[in-house]
Amino acid sequence: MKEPVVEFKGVTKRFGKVVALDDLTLVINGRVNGLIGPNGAGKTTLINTMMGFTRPNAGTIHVLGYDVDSELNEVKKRIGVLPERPGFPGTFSAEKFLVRVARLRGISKPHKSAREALDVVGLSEAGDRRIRTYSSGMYQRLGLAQAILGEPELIILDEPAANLDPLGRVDVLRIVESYSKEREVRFLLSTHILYDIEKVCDWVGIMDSGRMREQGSVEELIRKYFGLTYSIVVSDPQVFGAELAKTKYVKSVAYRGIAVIVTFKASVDVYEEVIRLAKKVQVRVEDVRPVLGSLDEVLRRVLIPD
Amino acid sequence: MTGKFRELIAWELEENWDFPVLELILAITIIQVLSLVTLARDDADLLANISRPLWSSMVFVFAISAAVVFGRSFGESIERRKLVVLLSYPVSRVQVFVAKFLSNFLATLCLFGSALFVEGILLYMFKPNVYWLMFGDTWIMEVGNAPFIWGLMFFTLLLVVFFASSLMTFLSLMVKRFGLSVLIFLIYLFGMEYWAGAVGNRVPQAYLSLSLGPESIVRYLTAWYVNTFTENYMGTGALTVGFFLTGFCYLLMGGLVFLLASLILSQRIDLD
Repeated sequence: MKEPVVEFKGVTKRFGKVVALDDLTLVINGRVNGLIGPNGAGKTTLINTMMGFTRPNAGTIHVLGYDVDSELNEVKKRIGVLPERPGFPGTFSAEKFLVRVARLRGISKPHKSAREALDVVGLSEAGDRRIRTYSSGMYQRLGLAQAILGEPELIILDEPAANLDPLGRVDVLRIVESYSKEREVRFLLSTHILYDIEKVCDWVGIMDSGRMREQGSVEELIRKYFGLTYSIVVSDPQVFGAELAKTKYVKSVAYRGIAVIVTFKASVDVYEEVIRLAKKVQVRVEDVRPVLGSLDEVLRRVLIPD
Repeated sequence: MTGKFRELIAWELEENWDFPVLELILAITIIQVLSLVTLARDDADLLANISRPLWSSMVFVFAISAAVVFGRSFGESIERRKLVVLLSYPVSRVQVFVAKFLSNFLATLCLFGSALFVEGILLYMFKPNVYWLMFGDTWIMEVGNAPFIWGLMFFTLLLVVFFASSLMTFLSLMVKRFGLSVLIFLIYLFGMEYWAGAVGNRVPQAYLSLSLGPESIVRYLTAWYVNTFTENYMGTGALTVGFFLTGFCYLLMGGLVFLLASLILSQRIDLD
């Protein structure tokens, strides 16, 4: 049984009057984990506290079973990080930089590892160029290279797709998928690009105002927020919709073509109710199916409740 | 020295002492040294008068250059998130702090020390009446005393660089910005000069300055050396032991206090 990626117990972090993490208690234990939320939600602060960049005002944090406060070096040995807006030494060549990183990480064959990492991120031909001459996309790829160097147990990527073109983004997702499936490396991603999260993550946390507002698999979250919304095709949508709206268990009714889109307040026996109402207003039911939304709709519903 | 610590020092030197910092400081130092050598020639009175402001500011060049180097190393690395990257690897904050401070301090000292050394050799070759004018008008008649005076100057240089480095490290960690920390450093430095100048040079507080403090160390210890180990006599003028100790303790103790404060701050600082 692997240790959880991270465990937060009552963690609070304040910057002056701003509460970045608000009594956060959380266990993240997925293979590829994603953090989403608006700017200032606390995602980067959460990562920073995991890495010891900032110290919480209260609470304890364990990463891969190690206490961040007292065993930070053990944590760092097992983690590769691409921080937000990283600053790499511009005077180094990319390969020399990675060799130095490999030595700091205690990797036995630093040159070989550096060349492998450059190859994985598609920078092998530019490895001898100084970092200061890199484009922002190449810079981000280099950031990814230093994070995956030496195959750490956990890789944390804070906005990994920043400055990347569409091909670069695809490459990041490819690397995440291959490392997580083939090499059993675990990931924690923080990003605003929800498509990336939907594509690769098996656990998602939605943060807002320093709190974890929702968490679970993408499928669980979508079912939770859209499981009560149905598309019902009937012979007379207007009459049926009006009748539905009168009932106490319906939250909202909308029309989309020949379908009535209805959201129920709570879990009811949808099929039984639809048939009962159809008989009552004498319309023919042609189709009843749940409407499942996307992660960005889940995010909107979590952050802006009705 | 552990492998990681050695690697951190190599990292710091390669990153922080690259073009144009090294070349710029070297050029400024050479100009200073050459002006001093020109002064030392017997027939160079005219040049001496012209270039006097240049060489008299040498100690400030040392201090400000050291401040820029340490500001880049600490303030800029926080500002540009280089420190975050470095601390994401399995190294401790203490290791990074000590490696940064030590490597930059030794490199600065080597650079300026070499300049002083070259200056000493040139002066010896030209055999002038030896003026050690860098920290004031200490005029030694015997060339044989030169090595001791050179040693004192190097020691004083060490103190000046140490004080400036520690102060700047502290300021950089406090404000986390390179430009702002340099500005505060300059305001402090020249503010102290103005205040020390205002109280005159007849009270110990006047030696809490970079123009009088280092001079007091060289002049006082030179006089002590000449009077103790040679048959010549050298007066110290109005320079008392209190004045000497003020200048000496200001640089040494001030540097130590700022260094300790910086070390504590580096352990607690939030890299958000």
